[in-house]
Amino acid sequence: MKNFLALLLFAGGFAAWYLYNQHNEAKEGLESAQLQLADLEKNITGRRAEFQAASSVIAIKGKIASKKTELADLNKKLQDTHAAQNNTMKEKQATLAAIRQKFIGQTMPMALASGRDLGQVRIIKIDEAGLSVATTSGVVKILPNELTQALRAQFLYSL
Amino acid sequence: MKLSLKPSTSLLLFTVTCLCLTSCKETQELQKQLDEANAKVQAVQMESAEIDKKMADYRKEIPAYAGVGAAGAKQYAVQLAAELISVENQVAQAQETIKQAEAELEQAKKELQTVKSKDPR
Repeated sequence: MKNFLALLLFAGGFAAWYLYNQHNEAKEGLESAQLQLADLEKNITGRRAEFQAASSVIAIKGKIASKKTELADLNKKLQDTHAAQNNTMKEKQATLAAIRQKFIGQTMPMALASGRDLGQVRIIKIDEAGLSVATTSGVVKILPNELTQALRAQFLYSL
Repeated sequence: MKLSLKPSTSLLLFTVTCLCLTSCKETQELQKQLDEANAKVQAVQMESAEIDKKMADYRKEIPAYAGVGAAGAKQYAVQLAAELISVENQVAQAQETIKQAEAELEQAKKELQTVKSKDPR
């Protein structure tokens, strides 16, 4: 019986020591981990801020690059549109010149918007700047705005 | 063998058992907290390594004149944001100009059609 009690006391003492040791180890480990965590958090705070700022730099740079590409495409499109517009204008001028050519050599009565009557005239030159006509008194240069509305329309100056 | 204990011995054994159980429970709780703290430490260390890895590339994108650290990066980000606004304005302006140019082109095409319709050839 005494031996049993001694064994029981020994086992109890051992268990108590073991649990105490475990408890201490866990407590020390926890304190150490908490210190390490605090230290890491302290160190990482500044780097987190730098990382976030650097991330936004990268994101903004990406957006700028994308917008610059879009701008280059738009400028190209604008150049193409202007070129197409110039070609259309040139074609229009060429077509007008070709149509006006048929009037050269024609003889017709002509009165100007001012009321001046030139009588029978022969058209000798016609272009965008106006027309030159031969009258009985000589060659007269007529500007498009000197023509009557009907003649302006006939010579395609009102387009 | 019949085990007979004195009341004082029984009380002592009972008390020791209770203390052991309590201590065991407390240790378990501490161990749980320790595991959580270790997990946090590991997560922060991983985050730190990830930041270091990415920052190695990101730092190349930040010019030296902008300065170092978070302040430098923030200052550069502000500059870039202003540049982005400027480029966005240019894009908006270019879109508007294209719109006008397209309208003018349409008008020129209409005029060309009108002139062609008067061509007797």
